[in-house]
Amino acid sequence: MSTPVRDVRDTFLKFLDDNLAMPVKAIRNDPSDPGASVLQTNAINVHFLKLNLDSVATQQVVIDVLNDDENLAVDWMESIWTLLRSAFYTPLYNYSTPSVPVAQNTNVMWDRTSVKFHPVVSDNYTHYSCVLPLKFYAII
Amino acid sequence: MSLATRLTSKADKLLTKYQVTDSRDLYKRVITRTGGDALLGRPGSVTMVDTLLDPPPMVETLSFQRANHPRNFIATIGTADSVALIGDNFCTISVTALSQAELDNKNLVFVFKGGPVDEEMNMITYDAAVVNNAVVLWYVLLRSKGR
Repeated sequence: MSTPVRDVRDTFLKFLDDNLAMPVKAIRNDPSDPGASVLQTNAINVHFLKLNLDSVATQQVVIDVLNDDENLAVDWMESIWTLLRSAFYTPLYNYSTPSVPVAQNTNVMWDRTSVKFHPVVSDNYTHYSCVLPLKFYAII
Repeated sequence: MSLATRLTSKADKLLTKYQVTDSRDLYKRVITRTGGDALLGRPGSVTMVDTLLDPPPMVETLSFQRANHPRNFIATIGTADSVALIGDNFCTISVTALSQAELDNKNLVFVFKGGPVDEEMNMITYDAAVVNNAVVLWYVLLRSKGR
């Protein structure tokens, strides 16, 4: 049984992966996947930070665009910005069985005016990072 | 036989003869996930293949006394910019037991077996002893996942 927090994470990851024509990677600690905890170049890296649990909860997400081609990194960043500006919510699903997502009849929301990327200096690749708070109804 | 090959052979014999290890055996563990949904972290199945490092590596647990170790990243142990911490394991491993490709495999971890419980280790960094452009030995810094 997934918790709402897990559902929020899964839903946002799937939202990006389904709507962006670029590789999306979730950054997480996983003993069965040791490489999952490191940033990957030429990918959109997504990981989750601070969680404020309340009836309307906030889950911070960090979106890191890494590419060894600066022009491509800029294009990717713009695609993400366009996607997140085009909507301010996505339906929440439970992905306990990933092939059969179950609608939870509520939404994951974000402030679409808060999508701001800032550059992270690196000699070897271009890196843009965005911190975005996701809002969701925590009592289901 | 090249100089590097002779040195590798000699090093293998010395490592086997002296068995300078942690009293436990060090294994390399390759983790393979198949099926499932990698993005969500829900694997279909996970297999772990453990292979004993043979010849056995030389393993040193880093202590304050090792501050003057010849390896650079050990020499700065305890300082703010050091990659090594007290309690890390500094391993000298034969190229016969471990290849460059394996060291670069992000799905490789190390496991000490033979103690009360198996101890899984992450690789922090590695370095090579090179002769005539051929690697003779690996220097590998390991840190327990329990730390």
